[in-house]
Amino acid sequence: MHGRLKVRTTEEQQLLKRKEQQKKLMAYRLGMKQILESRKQDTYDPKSLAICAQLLMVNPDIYTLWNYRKEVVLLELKADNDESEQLANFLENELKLTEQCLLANPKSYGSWHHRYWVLARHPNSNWQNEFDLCSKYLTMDERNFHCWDYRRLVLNKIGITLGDELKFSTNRININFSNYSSWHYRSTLQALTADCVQDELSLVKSALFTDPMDSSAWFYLRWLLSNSVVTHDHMRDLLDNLNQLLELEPECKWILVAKCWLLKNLQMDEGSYKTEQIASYSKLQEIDSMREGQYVDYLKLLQLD
Amino acid sequence: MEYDLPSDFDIIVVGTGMVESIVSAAASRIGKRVLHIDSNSYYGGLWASFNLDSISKIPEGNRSQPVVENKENEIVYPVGNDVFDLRIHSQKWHIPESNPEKDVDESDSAVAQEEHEWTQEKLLKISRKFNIDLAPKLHFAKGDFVELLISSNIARYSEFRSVSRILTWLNGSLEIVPCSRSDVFSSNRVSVIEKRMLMKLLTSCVDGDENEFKGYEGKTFQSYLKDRKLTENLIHYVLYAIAMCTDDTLCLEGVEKTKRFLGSLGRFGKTPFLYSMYGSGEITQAFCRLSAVFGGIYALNQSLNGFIYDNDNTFKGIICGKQRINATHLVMSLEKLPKEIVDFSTTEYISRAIFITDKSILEDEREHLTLLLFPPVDRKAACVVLELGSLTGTCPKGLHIVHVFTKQTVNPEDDLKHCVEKLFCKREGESNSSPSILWSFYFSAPNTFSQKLECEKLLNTYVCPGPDLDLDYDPAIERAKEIFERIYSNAEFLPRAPDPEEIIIEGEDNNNIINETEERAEVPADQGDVSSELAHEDDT
Repeated sequence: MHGRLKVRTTEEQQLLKRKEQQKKLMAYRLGMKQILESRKQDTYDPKSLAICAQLLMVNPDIYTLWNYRKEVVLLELKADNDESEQLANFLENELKLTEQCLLANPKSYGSWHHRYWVLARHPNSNWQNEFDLCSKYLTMDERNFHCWDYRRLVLNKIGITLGDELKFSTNRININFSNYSSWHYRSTLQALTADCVQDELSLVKSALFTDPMDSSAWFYLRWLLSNSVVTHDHMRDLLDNLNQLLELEPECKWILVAKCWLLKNLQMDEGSYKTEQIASYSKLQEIDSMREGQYVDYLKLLQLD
Repeated sequence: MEYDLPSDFDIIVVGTGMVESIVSAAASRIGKRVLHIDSNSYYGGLWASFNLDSISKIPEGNRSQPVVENKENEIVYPVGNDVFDLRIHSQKWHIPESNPEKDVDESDSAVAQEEHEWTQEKLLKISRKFNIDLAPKLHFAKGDFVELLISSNIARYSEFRSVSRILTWLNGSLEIVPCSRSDVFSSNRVSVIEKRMLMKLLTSCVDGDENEFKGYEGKTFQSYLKDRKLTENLIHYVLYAIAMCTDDTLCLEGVEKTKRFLGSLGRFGKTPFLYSMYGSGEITQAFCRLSAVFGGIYALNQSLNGFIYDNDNTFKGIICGKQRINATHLVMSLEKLPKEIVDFSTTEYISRAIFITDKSILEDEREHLTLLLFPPVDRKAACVVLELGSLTGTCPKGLHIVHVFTKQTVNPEDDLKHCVEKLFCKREGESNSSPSILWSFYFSAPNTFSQKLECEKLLNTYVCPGPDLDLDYDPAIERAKEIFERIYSNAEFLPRAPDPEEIIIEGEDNNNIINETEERAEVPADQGDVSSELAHEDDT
């Protein structure tokens, strides 16, 4: 019939796809062979380096290839003592490659490391630019821990503006508080002071009440409680809050677990709260049966006291 | 007419509104010969978008009508009626026509200030930067419309932007409605206990079993919320904004509406809603494009001179210009229905207002796409307010287009007054923080969705309703599907359209693929192991 579209069947499409995969595979094996051979001879030729880049762009997780590149970079650095423009261009190309690779796999350890390694050897590395890139990157994906780590490394180079970093972390948490990276980042930023402890407690409480089943905020709470500036007044307040929350969510294990952290801390010099701890652990035994043995041990310890 | 259209079709669709366009695409998609025509020179009919210049010229009513002609064995009905037209209430400028002559001696700062003053002349100069919807629509990110776009592959013809905040009017001011998990977390308007209560309620509306709502069958949603011991604020958020209900909405309906809202959260952006870039009028055109890709023939600006029926009132064809075009089925928009056989009159109207304003109703560091659900007050129905900025491609930078609409009780101006007065400056030049209205357009549009649109007098003829009050296109899709299934009862409704790479271009030899794959068989088998190295594993 005239004017009708002819459409490939799924089988035809799959065949095409498989054919393309085969092509890629052949090229990949050939490339690997060439690179390994030229590496063995302890020299490098630009052709192998170009092939290496192509392979990495497809799969940035081959450490051997990154190591090959590092060897070449070291050779270039050694050969070029007067920090010429040519060297700068060469290093810029390495940086561009890591960008390409991170597009292919944003969580490739090799690419992130190579980028930092090259920049650390770059005669005029622009760390501010790296910092801005990190901010942009984390706006698009706030849970990439590689980028959070990288941000910390970069900050060591340019110096930290504490207030800005805290605000940045808060903004990321506001987008989605199920974010171990950002909570952890907060804990590395500051030694908790008497001034800010209340703010941090409020922030974490908001998360706990919004979704008590989300474990990330509970871990941050645990870190907060390990800090000496958290007073017994703070802890008693928090205990009240947890009891309120427990009334609404009696089956949530995290509330009970956190309650036990608090009770243990409070018990140390007040000697009370023992019965409450026993009750909490017994309930935990029931609702978190996977860790029953752990709670039994805690109960035994309590009985010994 | 300089040239003739083909004269024989399976189906003729008259009018390019939403329902008509979906039917047209669906018929064309299964290989039917479709003629899709419109007497207007633009797509969309009552669902169209206009630039600033052309919206001031939209025809309000239908032109004079010729009478029914009885020929031998055939009856020719004239096209169109005036029952279902827009009724324009007022269209006004609230800024000067042009700047008065500038004094040459004026200081630089005065000139700079002058440049920020909008004039009619300035706005009309950039008239094409406006896309003003007659029937603005939002799309639930997981609603029927989005799912249809995806399943039919029409999504490739359209672009969307997500609504970035949802507001309500509470205790005399605008407030952001905490609707997603992250909103609830970061809101400083609700206490921690309220956070838990709200989250708990929202989860139980989505996941709650039947027992959760037992005993509320005849009771209102409001009473359910009160029994859940929610605070006044929370009840307001859930009842008027999230569920978009009134005090009288029944519990189960409220739960359904809450589900519709929450079910679309977390798919695209912070809210459940998407808006079509460059205006809602784009959407009808996306369906028309699909229809054309599959062979549908399009002709706008046609003078339609009659629908031809035989003596048994079976559809035979249309008269387009001087040409007679035959077809088996006729699908048309309500306003094209012959006056003589319109046996339903419209009683329901939608009161609509459109404004161009100089800033947002709630200013922020960045531009927002805002949905304000203005709650019902003092026996006034709830109003929907949609504020579009330049990022939607519907207005120039620095300005906003605001759509306000509600179910009509009196007339557009009176129905919307209480809401408009609270959001905008009352008088020109009044300096306070609310935005000023530069241009306003009040009109009534018939709401024809609640009517039963069976056209029993005329056979093989199907009538499509105009825009309704639903936020999304769900009712339009449902109606289009109904019409399509009545005409082609065994055919699939809008199956997935192929991507360009799946289409075999004429001249490309399909056998090539088969031949080359046979060669592939010679490649050693052990290569399969290495191929897994090329696959990326996500280490989340």
